[in-house]
Amino acid sequence: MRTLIVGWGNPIAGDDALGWRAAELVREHVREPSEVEIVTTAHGGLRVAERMLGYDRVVVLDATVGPEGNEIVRTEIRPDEIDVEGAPTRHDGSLVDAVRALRRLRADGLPNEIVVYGAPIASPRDWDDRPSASMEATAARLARAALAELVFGRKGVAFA
Amino acid sequence: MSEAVRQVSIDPITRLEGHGRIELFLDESGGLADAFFQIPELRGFERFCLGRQGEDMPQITERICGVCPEAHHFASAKTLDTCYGAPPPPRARKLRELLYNAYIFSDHLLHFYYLGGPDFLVGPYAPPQERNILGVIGKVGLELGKEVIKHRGYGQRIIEIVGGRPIHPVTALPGGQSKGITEEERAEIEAMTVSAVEFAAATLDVFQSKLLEDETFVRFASEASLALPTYYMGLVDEEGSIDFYDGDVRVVAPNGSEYAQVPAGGVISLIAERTEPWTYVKIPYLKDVGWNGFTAGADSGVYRVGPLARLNVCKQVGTPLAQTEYEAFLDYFGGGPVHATFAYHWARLIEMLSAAERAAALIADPDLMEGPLRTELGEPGEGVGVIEAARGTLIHHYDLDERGLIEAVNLIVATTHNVAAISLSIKEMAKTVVQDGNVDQGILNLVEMSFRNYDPCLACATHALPGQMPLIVDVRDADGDLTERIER
Repeated sequence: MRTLIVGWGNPIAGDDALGWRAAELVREHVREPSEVEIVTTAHGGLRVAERMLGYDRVVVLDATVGPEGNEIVRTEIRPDEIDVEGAPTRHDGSLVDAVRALRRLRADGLPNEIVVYGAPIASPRDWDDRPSASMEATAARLARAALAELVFGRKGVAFA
Repeated sequence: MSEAVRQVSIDPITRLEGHGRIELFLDESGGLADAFFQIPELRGFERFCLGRQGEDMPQITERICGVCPEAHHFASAKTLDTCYGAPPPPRARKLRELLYNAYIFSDHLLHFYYLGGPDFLVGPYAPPQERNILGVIGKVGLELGKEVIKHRGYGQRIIEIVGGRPIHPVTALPGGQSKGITEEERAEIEAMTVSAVEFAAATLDVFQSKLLEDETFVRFASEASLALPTYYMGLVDEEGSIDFYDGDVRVVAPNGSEYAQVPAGGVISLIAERTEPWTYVKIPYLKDVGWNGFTAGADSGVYRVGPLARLNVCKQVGTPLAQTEYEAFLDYFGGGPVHATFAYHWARLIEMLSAAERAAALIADPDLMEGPLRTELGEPGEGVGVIEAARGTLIHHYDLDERGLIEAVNLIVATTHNVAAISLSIKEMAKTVVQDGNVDQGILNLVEMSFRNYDPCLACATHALPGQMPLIVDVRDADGDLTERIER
């Protein structure tokens, strides 16, 4: 199964680097060659959706803003369900719409399974490439969730 | 602002890259008192960059924006070229231009089909859940929709080949490029550019048959009150043609006469920046004309950038098919400069065609395949790099110390140039549709349409909007109390 891990975030916007950092941690556990490809990106949702084409499964790791708490949230964007509600990502709002559009357009290579793992951060106010002290621990938890997803699928969230 | 003014907030703005906010101030009678466009951007980029290696800036600055990293990547590289006195050799320059035209093509395509186009292709009064790409597909048909995906993919593929990575280019270095392309890659790009030209021409056909036949679009494009007679700024080459990558900065007055034409580095001397208490953004204006408030006209330093501005400053477009479309554009509006803000949509598609034609011409250029890729660097110093991002003129300005470390940096991004004009456009539109305090979703979308003309990119702040794109409108009375909330 060709799998894409997307570390989504901005490494110069404080804790918005969360998803990016978590993907880097996942990379340390994936041996080449592998059917698992890992990318990090600060692009908007449309480009991220387009980047997913050609994979069977995609796992997106991202920061979320609100609600309060530190719970990791797992959401599936099911391309076969057109009226899916928005996933808890804080990026440009187009990821779900783009996936839906790609589905409606019958785009070749749309993944069967798209999972978004989100963990909350405080909304960044300043440019900063030094994340908060707590972010590294959250990134590690997010990476564990992704690894569990790779191994166990939907049940993986229990290991997060 | 008097006490008898109530405030309507539209926040966040939908289908806009980033997070913005519109403030509409209504007077006691429910008419419009004033309007401002706000960008709650991240702060302190200049401070963040201090002490960093100058050569890292193309990689750092492309993270600023999730939508146009290519523009920042090359604006930064061009700035470093000047800081080190190292203009890239022809092969490297043409590789950059090739990638850059693929970016312009792809970005303009995105706007027409995903962001701004739905307002007219689906209709301004259509339910919000239909006023998007899905609604567009219903109007233009599935086959053209599939072509949209295919050609977005072509744009990204060219960026990947020339830029070295599918996400975030890495190949631009001070003085040139880190790698060329193979003959196999050249052939692949050539086939894609031929297709891109055909698709861009077909998109202009869609525009002609759908938007120019659309009553709302025609009314907005011809309504005198919605036109803004401002100055315009953009890059032109030595022939006076549009040049997205390089050239002189040309500014024309509202009557079309040349206000200035300077080498790109001289743009800093043309503009000044001012602050307003309601935004962190520094608002630029033409220094020698002066700031006369949020007004248009020859006596106001407010100017515009972007597709419409570029068509207004150029003497010709510079590619044959786009030139024909440009002449039809001028004929439609009775000659230039064209001040109709809704003409941005048309101008964007003419540029999309021109970018595809330029990419097709560049890929056939033998210079692309041979010759040096870098120029030897001189001593570090101060430099200015100017490029035309999809949304307008992007300026990077660095000062490097003798070790090549950043001592000072200033960026003026395209949307910042347009902030004053966007505020004016919102105000003019709101005047026509907000009456007797009547504010509903259809009306609010018309106001939003007035700024979507500019394709503003607020992603240069956080590229952040919640995934569900909620639109919340708070209506407050003269005492500031919430009287009504409209959500979707």
